[in-house]
Amino acid sequence: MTWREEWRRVWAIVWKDLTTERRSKAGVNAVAFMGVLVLVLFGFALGPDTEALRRAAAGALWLAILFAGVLAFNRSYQLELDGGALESLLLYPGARWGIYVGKLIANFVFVLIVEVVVVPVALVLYQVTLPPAWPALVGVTVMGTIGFVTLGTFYSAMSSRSRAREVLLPLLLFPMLIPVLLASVEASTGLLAGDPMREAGAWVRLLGAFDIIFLVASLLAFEYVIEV
Amino acid sequence: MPDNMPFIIAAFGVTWAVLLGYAWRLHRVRAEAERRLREATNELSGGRT
Amino acid sequence: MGVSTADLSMAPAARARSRGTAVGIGVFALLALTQWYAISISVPDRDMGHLQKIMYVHVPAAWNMMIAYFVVAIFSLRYLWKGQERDDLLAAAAAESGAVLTGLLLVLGMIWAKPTWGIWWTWDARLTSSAVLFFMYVGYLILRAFVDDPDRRAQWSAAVGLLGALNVPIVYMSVRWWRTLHQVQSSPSTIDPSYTIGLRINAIAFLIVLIYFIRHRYDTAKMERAADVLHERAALSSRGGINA
Repeated sequence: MTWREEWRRVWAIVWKDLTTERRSKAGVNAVAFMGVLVLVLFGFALGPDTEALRRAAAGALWLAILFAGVLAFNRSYQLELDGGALESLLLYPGARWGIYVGKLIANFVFVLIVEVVVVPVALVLYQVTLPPAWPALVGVTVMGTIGFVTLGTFYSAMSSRSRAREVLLPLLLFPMLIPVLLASVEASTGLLAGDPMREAGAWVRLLGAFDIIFLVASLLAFEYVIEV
Repeated sequence: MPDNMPFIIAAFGVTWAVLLGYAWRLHRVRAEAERRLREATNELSGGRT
Repeated sequence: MGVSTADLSMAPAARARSRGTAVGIGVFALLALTQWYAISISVPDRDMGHLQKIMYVHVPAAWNMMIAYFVVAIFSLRYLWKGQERDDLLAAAAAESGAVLTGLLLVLGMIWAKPTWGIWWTWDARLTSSAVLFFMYVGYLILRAFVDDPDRRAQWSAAVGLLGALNVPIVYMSVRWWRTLHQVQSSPSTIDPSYTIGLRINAIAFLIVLIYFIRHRYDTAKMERAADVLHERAALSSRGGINA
């Protein structure tokens, strides 16, 4: 199998997943709504004080993305399992990592679409004014999402095929996400405040390192997870 | 510092409670495993004869 | 697999169990002895007074939690490499003991922190990564409980165990960085050399307890697996009764 053929398989999986999602639409809408709901709940929990809301904005936003996104990952495999399609997917020739990367990219696009809805709502609800360096903020969001989706896609390959899948995924996933969450929240909080401590850059580099470490580890381990 | 005594007693008490509690659980799990194994052995030999 | 059916018949099992109980009593007697020795030789600490004695349970729990964590990582890796069931069962046994020790460690840390620092909890790197390690262990055990197929359970929990093992130092480093950037308090005072003997023998006694736990759990897990295999065979032979 050449690289070109592998990537064609990957894109086929991405295309298939996104097409299913686009046709049904129910998934994106429900998950995005869940994210907005979590934001509103955090707003109530934190109280109406504008300053407190602004300080907590990045943390609340990331938690909203996590809680909403976790609902999406199980669906990604669930759709395959319902049609008995995972077995045939595994029967196709080619490396297993292709399946993982395909699912990963599809989930990434999915979560990005959810973020397009959730992030503006967060900006409005928490009365955040965008700093001049807002493209960096977008970059941090994308990098944090990559880390989140990398681990989410990996763990949902297990949880979706076990009993009690709704409980199992967050139990396995959230402790693993702590470094990614910490780096994303710190970097975005710093950037939102205009980076007064000049530490956001360090957090961004750290976040990039986490993304790479977890991506490589998941790629290596995925074969063992999917083949049984 | 006599007022720290409750903390010291609590620390050692918790340690022993946890360790002995787990040991007791292990004992029970093992008894259960032995029972299941015995049952399975009987079942198998009963099925054969 | 089924070869051991005859060896696992009842008389040796009962003997092994009574021997296991005797060993257990011995192990705990040793722990009581080392604790009593350490407490009796140690003088009150200048800063902490008698509170220092919590060190004799807290620090051994921490060290042995780390050992259990390495055992899980090593045997998970070995399982993925060689695919032998016993590595999986050993990793699972170590994870269960490790979860118990980590839970104990967290409670002991709180009991110690309250009178010394005046707080039950602080977001320090060591505390936070211990808590994360505890969640990992619990997640690992819950995953095992929710997956029935033994091969699948072994593969998955090995992968989860390895990724968890990878995650703990990362959490430690990132939390340490987080805390130093925000600069709050340092770690507790360093250990006086006169306490080290008491600490070491207690750590060894704890290690023996850990080995006893892992060994006992591993033996039990082997029995559980043997029982499962026999059950399957019994079910098969009763269904295909014509051949038997």
